[in-house]
Amino acid sequence: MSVRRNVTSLVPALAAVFLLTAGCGGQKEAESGSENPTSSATPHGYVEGASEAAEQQSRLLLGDPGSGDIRVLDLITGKVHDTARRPGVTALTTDGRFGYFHTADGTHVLDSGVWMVDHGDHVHYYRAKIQEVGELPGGTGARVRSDAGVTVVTAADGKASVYPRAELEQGTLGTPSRLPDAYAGTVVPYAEHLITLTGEGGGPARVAVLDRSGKQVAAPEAECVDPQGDAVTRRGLVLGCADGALLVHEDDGAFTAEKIPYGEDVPRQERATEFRHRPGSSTLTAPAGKEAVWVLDVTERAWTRVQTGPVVAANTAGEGAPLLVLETDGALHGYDISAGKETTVTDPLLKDIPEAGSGGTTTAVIEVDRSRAYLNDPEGRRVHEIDYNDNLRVARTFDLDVRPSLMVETGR
Amino acid sequence: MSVRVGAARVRALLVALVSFFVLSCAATGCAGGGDDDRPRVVVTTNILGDITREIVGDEADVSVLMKPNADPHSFGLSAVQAAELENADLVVYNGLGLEENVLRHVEAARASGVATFAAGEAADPLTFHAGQEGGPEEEAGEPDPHFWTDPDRVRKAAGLIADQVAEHVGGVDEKAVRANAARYDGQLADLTAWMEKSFATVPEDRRALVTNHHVFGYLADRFGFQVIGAVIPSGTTLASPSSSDLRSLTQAMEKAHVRTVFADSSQPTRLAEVLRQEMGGDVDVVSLYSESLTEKGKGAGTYLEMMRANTSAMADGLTGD
Repeated sequence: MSVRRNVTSLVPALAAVFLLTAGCGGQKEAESGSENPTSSATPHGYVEGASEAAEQQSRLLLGDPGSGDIRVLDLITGKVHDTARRPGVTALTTDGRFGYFHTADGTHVLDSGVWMVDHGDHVHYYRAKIQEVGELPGGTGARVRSDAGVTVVTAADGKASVYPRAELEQGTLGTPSRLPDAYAGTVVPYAEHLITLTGEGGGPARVAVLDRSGKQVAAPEAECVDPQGDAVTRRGLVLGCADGALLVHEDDGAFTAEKIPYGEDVPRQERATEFRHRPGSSTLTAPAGKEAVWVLDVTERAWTRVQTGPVVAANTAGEGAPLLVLETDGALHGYDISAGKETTVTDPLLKDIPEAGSGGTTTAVIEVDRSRAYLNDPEGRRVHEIDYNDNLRVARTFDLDVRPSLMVETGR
Repeated sequence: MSVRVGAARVRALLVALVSFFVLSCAATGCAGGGDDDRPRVVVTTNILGDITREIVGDEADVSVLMKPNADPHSFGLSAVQAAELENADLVVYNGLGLEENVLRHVEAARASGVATFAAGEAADPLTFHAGQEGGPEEEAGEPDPHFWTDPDRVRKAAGLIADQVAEHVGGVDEKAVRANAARYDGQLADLTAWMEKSFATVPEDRRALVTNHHVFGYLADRFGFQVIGAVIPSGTTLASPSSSDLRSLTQAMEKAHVRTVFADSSQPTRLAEVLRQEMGGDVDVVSLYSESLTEKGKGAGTYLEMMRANTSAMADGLTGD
C-alpha cells in the first residue's frame, strides 16, 4: 500500500519538474513522458509505438463466439495476431480503430492499432501495436459510438456515458462523464455535439442535440416513429424511422433535421433497421425484407429498392460501385444500383449455405473500404478479399484457425 | 519491508532528477519558467523555423513549435508552448490555413499585443488547381499555403522576416540581422540558379510530376513543370492488383509520357514492380520531402538541403531512362 501512495504522490512532482524546465530553449515538451526525461525530441502527434504510413493500414478483427478466440488479420502483411480469448461475445462493432466485443456482462475494448485521421483535404494513416484497453460496463443492448473526441456508450436503459478518446488512445478507459438523462435512442457523437432521441410512452421520438456534457442545446423540428439504426456520413447523421430516414445535419453551428421519406408505406419487416456502408461514403445499404435491399443515397436524398435473391448481407462502396449482396446460395452478387440489375455473380464463396436474415451470431458480413471488400466464411474458416471494381474478383483468401463469425475492418 | 526501500529509492531518484534539471537549466542560462531577458521569436513550422534562424542568428532565441517529420496541418501545442507564443516578441507563421491547430493560438497572441507575421500570405500566394492537376479536390480556387517550394518566394519572405525582426524584436543588433539576411539571400539566389540549371537537363516534353503530393504547385509554376495528381494504390491492393487499381497512376503517366512517379508509398519496390507488369518497361517510384524538415543529417535537415534533395530527385527521375 505504501508503495502505491508514495509513488503516485511523486507523479505530480515529476510533472511539475517538467513543466518548469519545458521553457528551456523551446525544444522540450511537457508531455514527453516521465519515464525518459532525456528524450525531448518526440514530435507532436507522436504516439508511443505508432508510425505514420503513406496508405491505409487495414486490419480485420475476427471473433469466434463458439471458442471465444479472437484474431487480428493485418491486411498489409497478411499476418494473423492472436489476442486474449473472450468467451460469450455476441456482437462485434468498431469505430475504425477500436473493436468493441459485446457480451452479456460488458463490452471489451481492443485497440486494433490502425487508424485514420481525416484533415479534410488529406488524411493520415497510422499503425501501432495491438493492445487490450479494458472492459466498458453495459452488457446486452449497449451501443458504442465514437468520433475523434469521444466514445459514448448508451446502455439498454438509455443511460449514457462519455469516455474521452484521448484516454482510450493511451490504452486506458479513463473516467467517463455520465449524461444526466436516459434517452430513447442511441447517443451518437456528431459535429462536436451528441445527437440522440427523446420521447416517452410510445409516441414519436424527437431529435435532441446535446453538448458534450449532455445539456440540450437544440431540438430540430422532426419526429421519428419506431427509430432503428443510425449511421454518420459526411452529409450528416442518418436515423432510420418508420416512414424513411431522418437526416440530422450541422451547418455553421446550426442543426437541422430533414426527412428522406420512403415515399410509400413500407411494412415493418421491410424497413431499413441497420445501415451498412463504407466509412466516408454517403451511400447506405440495409436489407429490405428477405429478397431486396434498400440503398439510401444521402447526397441525393433518395431511396432505391433493389430486388435481389434471398439476402444474407449487403454493402456497397458507393460512388458508382456495385451493390454487393451475399445471398443464400453462398455467392456474392453484384448489382448496378441505378438500373436495379444483377451484373455479376461469383462462385459460391461460403462453405455452408447461410440462412437469410437469421440475425444470429454466425452471420456473414461484408466490410467495404476504398479498394476492396471483405467477406467472412465462418464454416470455411477463412476470409475472402473481393476486388469489387473487377467483377467481384477474389483477390486473396486468408485461411484461419478459427470460425470468424464476427468481423469488422479497422484502419479507415 | 523491501517495499519501503523501493519507495525511498524512487524518491531519491526524483531528488536527483530535480537537481539535474535545475543544474542543466542554470548551465544553459535558462531560468525555469522562461527567460524574459533574451528577445524571443516563436515560429510555427520547422521550414520557416530554419529560415528564421538563419536570419536571426545569435541575436535572439528562436523557438520552433513543429517537430521534425511532423505534419504542419495537424501538429498541436502543449500548454507551455501556447504560453510561449503569448510571451514572444514576434511570431512567424505560414498562414493561408496551413497550421490548422495552431492558428487560434497565433490569433490569441496577436490579440494580446504580440507582433505576428504570416509569411505565406506575404509571399504572393497562388491558388490551388483542380484535383486532376495535383491540387486537393475540394480546395480548388483556395490559396495554396505551400509557398516554400518556390525559392524566389522564400527570398521575398526571408527579406520580410528580417524587416519584422528589426521592427518588433527589441534588443537585437539590426546590422547583424541585416548581414545575416543578406548572406542567406545570397544562398537562396544560388539555390534558385542551381535549381534552374538542374531542371534545364529535363526535356520540355517530360516536365511533369506525377504525384500524390499536393505541395509542388509553386515549384511547378516557377520552373515550368506540370503537376499531375494521381492516386497511389493502397497497400492492400498491391498484394493482388487489377488494372483498375492502377488506372489513375498509369493514365497519368501515359498522359505525361513519364516513367517516374513521385510518391509516398509504404511499398515503393512493390509499387514499381506492379507498374512495370502493367505498363511494360521500367518504372521508378521516387519519394520527395514535402511539408516538413527531417532531423539534422537525415536528408532534409534545413530548407536548402530539402530543396536540393528534391531537385536532384526530380531531375534524375525525369532524365534517366
